[in-house]
Amino acid sequence: MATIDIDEQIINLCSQDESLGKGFDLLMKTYGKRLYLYIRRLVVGEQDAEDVLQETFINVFRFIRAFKNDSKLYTWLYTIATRECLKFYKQKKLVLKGFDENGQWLAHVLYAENSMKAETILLKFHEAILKLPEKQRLVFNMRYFDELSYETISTITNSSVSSLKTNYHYAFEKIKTQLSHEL
Amino acid sequence: MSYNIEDHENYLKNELPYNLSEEKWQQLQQRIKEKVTPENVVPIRKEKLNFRYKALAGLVAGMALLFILVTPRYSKTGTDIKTSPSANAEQQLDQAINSLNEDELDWIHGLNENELSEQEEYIENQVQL
Repeated sequence: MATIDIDEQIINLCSQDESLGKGFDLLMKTYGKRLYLYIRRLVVGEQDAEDVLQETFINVFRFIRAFKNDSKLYTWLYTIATRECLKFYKQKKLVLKGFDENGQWLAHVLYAENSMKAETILLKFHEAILKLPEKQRLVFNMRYFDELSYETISTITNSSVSSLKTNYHYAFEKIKTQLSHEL
Repeated sequence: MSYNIEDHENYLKNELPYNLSEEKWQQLQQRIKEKVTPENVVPIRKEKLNFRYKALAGLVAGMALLFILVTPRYSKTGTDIKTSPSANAEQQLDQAINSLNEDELDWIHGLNENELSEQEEYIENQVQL
């Protein structure tokens, strides 16, 4: 299958110093944009997203030789990216001033960086997602935008499928309610 | 006025509130590539990982024991869950849900499941490249 061949190629190329560049290019071409958008939706800021993506890739290359293939490569990549996003949230909590929670601060960044003047409904939608509790925010992003299966999200977040479904359902209803109030 | 997310799914899923031009994307990739070099990335070999995991496991076990001994215990019903006094009802509900264990969430999902129709659940799909 083409999917498995590409993953194998990526792992082989990235595991050797002499082919690191080629491995990076193939990894970026196959999964880079998807990972970047996933991270960007969670951390919002352009520079922050780049920093988190960079840390994700550094960890990918650091640990890829120990990758056991007991999950799909993209599941493993999402797991590392998620961990880096959570680390980012923890670091921000230490320095945030004037904001009650990460979600408020992230919503502030969303509006501050909105140079292309996106439609109000789009901004309100993303603001509602950012103001979800952390776990619901993660699950919603992976399920709604990336359409990952609950089993895959379970591997990434180490939560049960049932609790993920409950979190997603609750998040979805909350966003709908918030948008109804805003419009 | 209610806003139906399902009706606008295509738009909400595919449009972004921020722009990333192809040129910016290429520059970003280049910057990251320069940081990911053999000198900057020291690979962790399996043997080192095993040793680290064992040391980490010992540390975690010690911390867990300390945590069990010094922290207050909450009742299973969650009635003693402490929430910040300033949190509103919605925030308190969020905190309550986040503090539930897996069994409790499974039970709640069992209640919710009866409310979810087939149309409201996304079809489980295989990720295709």
